Amino acid sequence: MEQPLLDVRHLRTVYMTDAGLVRAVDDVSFDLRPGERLGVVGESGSGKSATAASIMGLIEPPGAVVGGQAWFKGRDLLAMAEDELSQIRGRDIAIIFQDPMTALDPVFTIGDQMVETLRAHLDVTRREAVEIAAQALADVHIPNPRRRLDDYPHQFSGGMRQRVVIAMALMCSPSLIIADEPTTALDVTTQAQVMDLMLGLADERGAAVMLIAHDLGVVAGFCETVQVMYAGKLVERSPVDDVYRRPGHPYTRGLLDSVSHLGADGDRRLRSIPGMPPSLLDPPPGCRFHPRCDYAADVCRAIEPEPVPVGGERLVACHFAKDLAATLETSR
Amino acid sequence: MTATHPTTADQTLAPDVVLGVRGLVKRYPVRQGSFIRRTVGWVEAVSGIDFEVRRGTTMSLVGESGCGKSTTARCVVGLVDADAGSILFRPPDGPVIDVARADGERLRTLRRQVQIVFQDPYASLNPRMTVAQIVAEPLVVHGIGDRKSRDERVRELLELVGLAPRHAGRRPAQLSGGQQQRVGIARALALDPSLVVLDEPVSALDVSVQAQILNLLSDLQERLGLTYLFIAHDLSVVHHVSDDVAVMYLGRIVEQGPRDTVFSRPRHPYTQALLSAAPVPDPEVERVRTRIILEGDLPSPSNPPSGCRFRTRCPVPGAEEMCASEVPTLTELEPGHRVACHHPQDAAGATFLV
Repeated sequence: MEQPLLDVRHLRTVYMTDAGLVRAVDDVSFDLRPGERLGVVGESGSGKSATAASIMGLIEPPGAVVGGQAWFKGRDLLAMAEDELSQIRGRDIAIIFQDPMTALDPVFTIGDQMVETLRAHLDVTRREAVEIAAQALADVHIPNPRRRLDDYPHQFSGGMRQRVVIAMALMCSPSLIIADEPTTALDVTTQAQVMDLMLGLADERGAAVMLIAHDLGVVAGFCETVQVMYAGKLVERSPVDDVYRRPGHPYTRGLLDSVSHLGADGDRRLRSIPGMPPSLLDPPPGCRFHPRCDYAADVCRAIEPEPVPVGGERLVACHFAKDLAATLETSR
Repeated sequence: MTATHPTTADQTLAPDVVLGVRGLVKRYPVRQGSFIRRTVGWVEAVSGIDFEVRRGTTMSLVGESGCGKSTTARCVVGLVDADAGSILFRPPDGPVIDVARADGERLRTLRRQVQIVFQDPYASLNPRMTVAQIVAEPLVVHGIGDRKSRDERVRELLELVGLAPRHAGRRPAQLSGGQQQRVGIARALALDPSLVVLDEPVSALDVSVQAQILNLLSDLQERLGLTYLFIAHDLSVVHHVSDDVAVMYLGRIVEQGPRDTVFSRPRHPYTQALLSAAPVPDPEVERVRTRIILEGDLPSPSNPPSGCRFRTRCPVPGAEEMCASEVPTLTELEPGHRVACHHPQDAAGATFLV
């Protein structure tokens, strides 16, 4: 079997707050093959962004990674010293955030920032770095790339800025791109443009992508595998068609039923999930979804379900995953 | 810079029309200088738009940032004054009111009858007030009822929007996003309005909560006979809630009509691109559909392209001289379906959706 590119085991991340300990990521394990496109979906507070930030060593106090490993090419990212990690970050693992300004410094030109990044990670002269930077901007369809290197971030529109960030992320040819809601702040036509560019370039270079999104549509269009998170837990991980055609977890099903979508009958009543996600200060015992679940039974209130295989490549963390698989399949 | 708009707008509305917007124009000055602020130019956020909203229905204005949809909403509720055109509102009883010229009793009627729900529920609620105070405030401002009857009305309103009596004493920060938006809706309904402007009411909410709020809005519409003007950028939400739709681009309506017509037979290249780019949560659909990727970026609204404002990004080959020189007017291509394009596209056989 192919060696995974990234292998996350039993990751635990907490935040110390005045009100108590928030378990943002609670024993989450998953892996990513080279070149795979993984979508991570979940609502706010599900732990999807905290998972990515933990892997990248970007959790800051009052938060802390308190357990687990993240094996990347045979080394544990979580055990690495910051200077070692910063060599990998931006070089072999690129990260793209929702707000492009978190990656861009407003007081330096785009060119200065790109050249600095390139020279920190690659053994190139200044002249060579300018060449690579201009080509990277051209790759994301920025007109007059050489001239635009002298511009400051504010001189670009929102969509262009995110394209610049993508150019910066990809110019060192990373093998893993972690994109946390990269197009959420953009308009839909710009979003399509940016996603196409990002994934096209990732494919060209054989990079794996971990796409964190709240929009089930974006993930449906661009990912092969989908991982669903709820209240700090991984509840399902399946190939994309299975997730949408026969969701294994009642939460996944609820999430799909609650989105209005263009292909559906517009007059249909949306099936919303009752209640709201639990507080992570004091999550419910057993399965965290049980208070909102139609299928909850005694076992769900007492014992926390582990992700188990339910056929094919599907992993579902639900006591009734196997029984439900049959009924959910027929109902969709 | 603007097409001429009739200054003496037709002051009549068909009997089933609650809101009629005619030739609406709104400009904002662009100022420069830190001490002496000179006006160096104008941004026309809305450039002469017309639409009507029928009683008990939902009309949606949809478009991307900078298209003028929110400015239109603000003009309709009187938060900003229009520069030209007219906004006519028909109260349930009494004659049609021109929003721009209303004063005295008519202005008070307007303020009661037309309400707005904002996008960010937390920012639109006073953090120091309790839920009960927030919901009662419109009643206090309009001098309606005494303390006891207001308390009663607040209880009624909270129940109407699905909040429990125990929420009455809480402050906004103690509520979830969905609950905050329910408070915003309860406040909007306090004065028993007939027209509610919903400005991106669910776009700040998580999807499972969005569904709860959208269902609530549709229940309220049915129970109270409300008329909605819905402002949104999310096409799937618009598809779900609307009876009629108007698509806006850079201050103008480019296409409008009944929902199913616009969504299944879009004729304007911008509408087609917008629909084709909207993500659909279905991998099979995503694999087979044609995505029209628009090149370039939105032009600056302070210096919009001449003629058709979409022409600089239009994917239709051979955009001609006419597109640059003549502003396309909304033309009816089939009953109720209007398109502003010199070269309306064929919708047959296209797979924008399913």
